[in-house]
Order: sequence, then C-alpha cells, then structure tokens
Amino acid sequence: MREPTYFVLASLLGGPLHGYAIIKRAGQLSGGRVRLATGTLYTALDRLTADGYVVLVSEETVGGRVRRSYGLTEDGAAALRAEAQRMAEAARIVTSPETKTVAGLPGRKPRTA
Amino acid sequence: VSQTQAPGKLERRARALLRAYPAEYRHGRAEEIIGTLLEAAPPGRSFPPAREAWSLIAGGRHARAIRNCRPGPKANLRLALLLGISTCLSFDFCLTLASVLGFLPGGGASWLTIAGAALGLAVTLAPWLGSRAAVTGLATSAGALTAYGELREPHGSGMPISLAQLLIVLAALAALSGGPVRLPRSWLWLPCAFPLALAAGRPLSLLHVLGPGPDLLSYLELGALVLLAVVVICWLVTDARPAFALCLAVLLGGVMIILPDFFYDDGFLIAHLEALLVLFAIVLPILLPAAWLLLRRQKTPSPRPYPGP
Repeated sequence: MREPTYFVLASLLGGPLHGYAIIKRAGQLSGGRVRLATGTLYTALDRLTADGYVVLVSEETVGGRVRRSYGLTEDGAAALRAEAQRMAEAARIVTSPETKTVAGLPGRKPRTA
Repeated sequence: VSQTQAPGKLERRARALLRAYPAEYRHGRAEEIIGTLLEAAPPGRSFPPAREAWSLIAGGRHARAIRNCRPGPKANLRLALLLGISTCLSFDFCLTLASVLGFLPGGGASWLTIAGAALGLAVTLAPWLGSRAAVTGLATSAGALTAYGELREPHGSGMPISLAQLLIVLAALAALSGGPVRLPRSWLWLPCAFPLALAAGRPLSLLHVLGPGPDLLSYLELGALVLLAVVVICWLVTDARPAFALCLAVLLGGVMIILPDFFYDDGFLIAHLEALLVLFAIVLPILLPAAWLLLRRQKTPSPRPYPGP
C-alpha cells in the first residue's frame, strides 16, 4: 500500500469525509508530509472504491456543486490494520534494543570545504 | 487580477485540465473534482498549482487507460483486428484511387475501378456503424464490383493485392463487425490518414511543390507512416489497442504483397524471409510495449470505479 493510499484510508477512520476534508485530514495525520493533490485523491478513491475499501456514503449540493462523502468499509479498515501491523513489524526490526552496530567503525566523515 | 475574477479563471482553467479525463467520467465527477480543487487552492490564484495540474492530467490518463481495458481481452482483440484490417484496406483502396485518378504513372481512369475503390473506402469506414449487416452488404458490393472490374478491365481492378486476398480480408472485416462493443469514434481518423495524406498531396502536386509520380507517393507514404507510428506510440499511454492495429495493418499489408511471390517464385525464398523479418523488426518496438501495457492494465480491477451522475 502506497503512503497516500494509507493516509486516505486513515483519514476516514474518524468517519465519512468529503474530498477536501480528506486532503486536510491526511495532511494533519502525516504531519504535513503527505500533501494530496486533487487528481491523486480521486484516482486513489476510484481504486479504493473498486477494491471495496471505501464506499460512497452521502451526496449533497454545496454552492451548486455536488459534494460526496466517502466512508471506510470493514474490508478497508481490515486492510488498513493489516498494513499498520506490517509497518509496525518492519519498524520493530530497526527500533528493537537488540540492534547492534559495529563498534569502532565510524560513519562517513562529513566533507570539509 | 481581482479577487472576484480569480475563482472564475481558476475554474475555467481547471475545467480545461479536466478534459484529460474521459467524457463519461467528467459527466459523473467533474463538479465534485472542481469543487475540491477550488477549496484546496490558495486564495487569489487564477492558475491551478503545477502539482494540481499534473495530478489532473495523470488522473485523466489513468481513467482513460482503465476505461479502454474495460471491454475485456476478447472484445478488445476484436476491436484491434477491425481497426488493423480497416487501416490496411483503406491504404490499398487509396493506392487504387491514386492510380486511377492519375497520381501514379500508368494509371487510367475507369468509372468501374473508381466506383470499386470508392465503395471499398466506404467499407473500411463501415465498421463504425456498428452493424454487421451494413458492413456485409457494402463489402459484398465492393468485392463484386472489384471482381467485375478484374474481369472487364484490360489492366484489372487496379488493386495492389489479388482479388482472392481482397475477398478474404473483406470477409474477415464483415465477420468481425457488429457486436456489443462499438469501435471508438476517436479511432476513425486512423483509416482516414492515408486518404487525407493523398488528398493533401493533390494540391501540392498541382502547385509543383511535389512532382506527380512515385516521388510524391513515397514522400506521402513515408510521411504518413512515420506520423502514424509517432502518434500511435504516444497513444500507448492510454490505449494499447491502436498500436496492435497499426502493427497488424503493416504486417497484413506486407504479407499480402509477399505471399503471392512466395508461392509462385521459389527462387526468392530467402529474400521473402528477410522481408518478413524486417517487417517484424519494424513492428516489434511498438508491439512489445503495447502487449506489456495491455496485460498489465487488464489486471486493474473495477469495471466502473466512479459513481454515476
């Protein structure tokens, strides 16, 4: 699962959101690292809807324009949990206290001008 | 730019970018995407940010690629075969017309040959009608007229391929026509490219920019083929089927010219083999990426991923 997709799903954990709200929430959750562009968001939503991870929840008209809200399905939540689990296990390998470095071998020295 | 004008301009430019998406997608999603884009844009902007613009173009390309794979491998193969045969036939009928209308040396105008070739050109465009009966009717008439011309005219029908080959190809075109999935109208220009190239050459030859005769034809043929190949390679980004069709047209055209000599002239076996290998070498750079892209995209899920209007 790519990072933007992960954060799109994660942004829907708190309940259904519309397009712009998903962009804002994904930005907040990632600490500003994931800045979803509109085209990227809707491509991801199309794929997630097709996979059954996201579903269209409601449709309203705001300022003469259709605004659709999307919610997370059970399958979507399960896929998100599985991905989080996978990443946590991958992180544990690196962050565990048993990690050993080779003593006495310095890293690359910074270049001096 | 005033604050009141900016949203209007931004919206207009965003709508222009949305044309990257297929029409049916825009019908269901355009207003929603525009709304999100306007909300996300910083105030006072009259152009969408570069990353937003690029994401819309990339999203449109992706949506088109998914739409083009939706009919399934069988229907897509039928469409590619239809387009390939249609393109190859239009080239042959155009050569006949060019010959009888005096573009080529040795050609002589005969109403029977002109009518046969004109009807043949109509057959090449008939698959877009979506009716097998119409294509069969037109193909039968064109085949009969060409056969009659072959018997009556002293120089034959003027076709660069044999009558037997023509009838087989016309029968294949009729058999493949019809069906639930229609040929996209955006493909219609492909079998028209050679007629248009030849039509464009007429005023050029009259103005003595290009002399009539083999030079004119070779310039037009080569120019049209190179242009077609470039456009079709660019087309691969969203649709692999026209690439298959163009390769098929080149192979079919080459094989139809080589095949009679292959059977009746044993001495040129190696030369024919070389010609076939050259043909494959020409089409492989288009065929291989097209096959890879098509197979990759067939795995993409979702027949209709976006909500309707």
